[in-house]
Amino acid sequence: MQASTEAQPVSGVNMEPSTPAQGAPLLSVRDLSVTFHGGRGVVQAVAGVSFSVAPGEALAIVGESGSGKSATALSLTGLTREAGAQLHGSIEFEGADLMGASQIQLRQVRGAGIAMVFQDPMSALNPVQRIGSQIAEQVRAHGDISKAQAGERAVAALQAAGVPEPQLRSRSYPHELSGGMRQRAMIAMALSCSPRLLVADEPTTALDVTVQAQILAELRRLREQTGMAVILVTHDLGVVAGFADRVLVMYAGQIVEQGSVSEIFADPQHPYTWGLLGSIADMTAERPRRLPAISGAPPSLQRPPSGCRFHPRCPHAHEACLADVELLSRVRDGEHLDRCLLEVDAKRSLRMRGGGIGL
Amino acid sequence: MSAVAQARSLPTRRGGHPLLAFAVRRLAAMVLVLFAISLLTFLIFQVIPNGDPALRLAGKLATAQEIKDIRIQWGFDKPIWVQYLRMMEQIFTGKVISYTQRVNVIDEVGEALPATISLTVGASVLWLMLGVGLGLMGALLARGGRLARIGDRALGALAMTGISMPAFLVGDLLLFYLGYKLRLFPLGGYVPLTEDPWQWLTHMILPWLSLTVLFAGFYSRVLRASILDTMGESYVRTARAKGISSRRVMLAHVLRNSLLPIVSLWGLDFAAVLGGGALLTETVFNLHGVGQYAAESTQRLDIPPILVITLLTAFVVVVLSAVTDLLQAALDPRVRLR
Amino acid sequence: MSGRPAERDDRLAEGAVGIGRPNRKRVGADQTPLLEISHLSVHFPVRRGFGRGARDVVHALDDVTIAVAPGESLGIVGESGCGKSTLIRCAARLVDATAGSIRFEGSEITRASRRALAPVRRRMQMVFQDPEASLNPRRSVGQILATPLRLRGVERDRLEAEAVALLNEVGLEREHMHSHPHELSGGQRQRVGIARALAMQPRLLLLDEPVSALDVSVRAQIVNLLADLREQVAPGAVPLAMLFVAHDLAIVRQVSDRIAVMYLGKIVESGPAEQLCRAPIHPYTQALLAAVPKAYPGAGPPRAQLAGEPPSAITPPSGCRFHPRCPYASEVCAAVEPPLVRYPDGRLAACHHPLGVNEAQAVAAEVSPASPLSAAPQTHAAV
Repeated sequence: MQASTEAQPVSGVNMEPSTPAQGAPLLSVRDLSVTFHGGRGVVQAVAGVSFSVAPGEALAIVGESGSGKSATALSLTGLTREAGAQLHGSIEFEGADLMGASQIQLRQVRGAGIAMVFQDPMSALNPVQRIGSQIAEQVRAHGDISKAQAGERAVAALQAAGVPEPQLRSRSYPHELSGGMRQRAMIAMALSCSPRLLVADEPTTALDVTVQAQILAELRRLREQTGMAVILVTHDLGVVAGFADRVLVMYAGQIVEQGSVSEIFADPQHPYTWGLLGSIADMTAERPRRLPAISGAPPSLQRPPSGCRFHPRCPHAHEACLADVELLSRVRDGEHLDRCLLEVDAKRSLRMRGGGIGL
Repeated sequence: MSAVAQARSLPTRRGGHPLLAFAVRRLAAMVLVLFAISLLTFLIFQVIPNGDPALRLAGKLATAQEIKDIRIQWGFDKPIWVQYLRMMEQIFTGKVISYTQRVNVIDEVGEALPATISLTVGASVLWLMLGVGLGLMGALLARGGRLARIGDRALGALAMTGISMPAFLVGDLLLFYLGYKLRLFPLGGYVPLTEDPWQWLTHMILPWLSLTVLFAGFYSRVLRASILDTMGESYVRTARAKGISSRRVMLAHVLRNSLLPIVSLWGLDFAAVLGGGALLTETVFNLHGVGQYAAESTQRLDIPPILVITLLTAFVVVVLSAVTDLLQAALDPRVRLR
Repeated sequence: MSGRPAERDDRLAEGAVGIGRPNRKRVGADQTPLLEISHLSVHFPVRRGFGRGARDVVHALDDVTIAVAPGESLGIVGESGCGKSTLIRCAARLVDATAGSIRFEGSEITRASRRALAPVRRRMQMVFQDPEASLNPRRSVGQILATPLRLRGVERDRLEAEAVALLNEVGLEREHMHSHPHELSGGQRQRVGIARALAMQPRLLLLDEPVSALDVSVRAQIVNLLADLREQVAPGAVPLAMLFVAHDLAIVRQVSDRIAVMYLGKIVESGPAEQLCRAPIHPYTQALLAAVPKAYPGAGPPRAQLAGEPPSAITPPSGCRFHPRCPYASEVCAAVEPPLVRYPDGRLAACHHPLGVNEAQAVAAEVSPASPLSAAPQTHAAV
């Protein structure tokens, strides 16, 4: 599948002070594939994805719906394991193999080693249980402590996540909180067992823009405070800029580009990335007549396009794009990988659209 | 910030007691329902052919004069609304007399009630347990591999068979094989619990089973669908991501939330059976319960017992729907009592 | 609305035209606003807590005045709970007004009967946030489009051609006629939603968060489609006006000629889209701008991050409703509701401490007829 994907754990050297030095990666994913056999045929949601996360690192996985970003994130702790799903490849967390792990072994990792925050906190929290007891349930699953102690830990977790009046809130039901508070409660739950890796799957998508900014700032603060690594899964490259050290761009189940956040924003190599960058609104610039958009719709994952999977939507596609394209380092530095055949110099001129980067 | 949350979240309980207001509202509703039902039932028997109560009272050999006397004596010559009011007064003072048997109807219903209560309580517990068990099993099988899904289909077919079998057929089959052929159970009748608990039990088992066959299939299908829906919920994924055991995920999150719709269903079915709704089962097993009494009275076009039992059913349904609403509110904080 | 003096009404109409700054390109002599909402309030009674008799009132909309000129696009922006969706639903008469008036094409529809509304609803079509929920999953795209076309009186044998033309107009193909909603992507579904609205040949599109549920990359497509729809009007044809509601200022700016910013049921600022985004007067507008994600890493922390979330609309704060969250708030803000003031450049803002307004502008400012009647007019422009 991939020849030279020696994706070393890259720590964003000049980005955040909290990233520790090189060493064994916290999480290492090799050639992950996820296939669902459903009523409407076979869907390969993830097609050979490899990456790693260093301790304390913030990695963003960016892509449209159907890009496989959520399936990748859920597969890390086996949440896609079910009848009709096939997982291949390897997932190692802190040196332990999770792909072959038993349900009991996985359970010990879930919540304690790798915790998750989901998109819509209204539906992601059980509507008929109090916030506090939902957090306490997780605490008790990972430590032999009394109900009362777990309750106190829940209140402390709520406080740490910036929930005012945590004592009172822990007695509330999800529908009694505002959207922002619910997401903070969700974060509190995720952090209650001090995970080494937090996977946040579209944590701000369902929220107002003002609250989005608050939640992202909160996540950034908590990461600096605890030193945990974070995987941020999102469709909006705009929220990535101030948050992540490194970025994976996914399209139709594959990684099409990966690199440090500064590389992705300043020197993006794949046209799909250009498209995503172009769709970020720039409020400081003059309003464009039209927003730069990626034309067409994401392909069907039952019958993905041959060759470069983006070629049907790419204005720069040529015949060579019909053959498979590998994820390679085409820029000189060796850690910035992409899946586009165009010459680097050609890309640098092709991607300029009206003063900014776009497709 | 604090103002936000204050208004949104704190279930404020100032003012009148919520339960009191709820009870008052439900009582008012009950009066309305009882009035409407009684009036409707009463009027129906005024218009159906051969419904004249004087004919029932006088018997088959009565002369025209006798019938006329009875009509005047019982007040059937009065305007309908006077007759209705008189009837209601008799019912609520416990003095209502059957037109064909000339016995006190309230006493008759009182005698029939223990059998019906025995039937309802036992059967409803059985069918709920079996329905939940089968529903859970079906849902788990449906999420499993190919072989498991065949098992789920088989359960589904079984449930459909149960649902679609007429009550008298199930009862007769049970009686014939378990009672007549194998002689494991008595062939119908009712023995009061206070008289002989063992006899009571052996007499009740077959009726319970026959109702359970009927309801458990239905409940298992409803619960299975509810569980499968719930398993797709995002909060179940959250629960799994927390690292709690899959058993706990299933019981504390999936099953508990899936049972919410079952609760109200159960309350209403319980009420229906208690109010004489299982008349076929009662008749087949000759339990002399409320349902059987209603069936016999209907054959005789005997208005007073029919009215009394109809009112009883309505009363039980209204009360139990209030109880299930309370249960729902206790189980689900989003539900508000109305 | 009843019992208001005639004089007041005149001023109102005049004011509404004034704020309805018409789209330069299209509107000539026709100065009557297409949609005119005057001092509209919507209050919902809610039962509080556990089945109690006592009721609270949610002030979803409080004395809001806006106007949309023919062919104009007005964007409404604000956080959830600010009343923007209520406003659009009220305009479509899906929600009843508590007070105030709604006029469409000059005629009063605030209390119009269902029958009287039928022709109005054809010329005023709604597009919803979640196309998955607002399209019937059991009907094909062709069937979904046929219903409004038939209502419009299109002949049976013309139905298919018209439906295909609509699909082409929104960037879909003939092959999508037989697809069902679940077979389409989110963006395609929203295109169908728009096509269904266009089938009636409306003069006004009411769009309620039409792109919020979509991926960022698809949002741009839909936003561009809306721009195309407004521009590709055949000569002599009726121009399409839009009332566009969203929580994301970046999107609203792109599709709107003018923007009105709402907070807790009131309009706090309105003005030409670019001007409002370049130099906001109201601190809340500034905060919304700051919350738009930055396109570049290292763009630094947001300028003035807004803390918390809007307070309850059951007991809104006194004075300026934004004051508890406002970095510039002073005593007067808590005590006195600022009127909606019209500045010389035509912009409106309701703030005691307007940003970037010099003394001359402040002196020249006057209370707009669109201002809430409850706001104290004598205290305006306390710079």
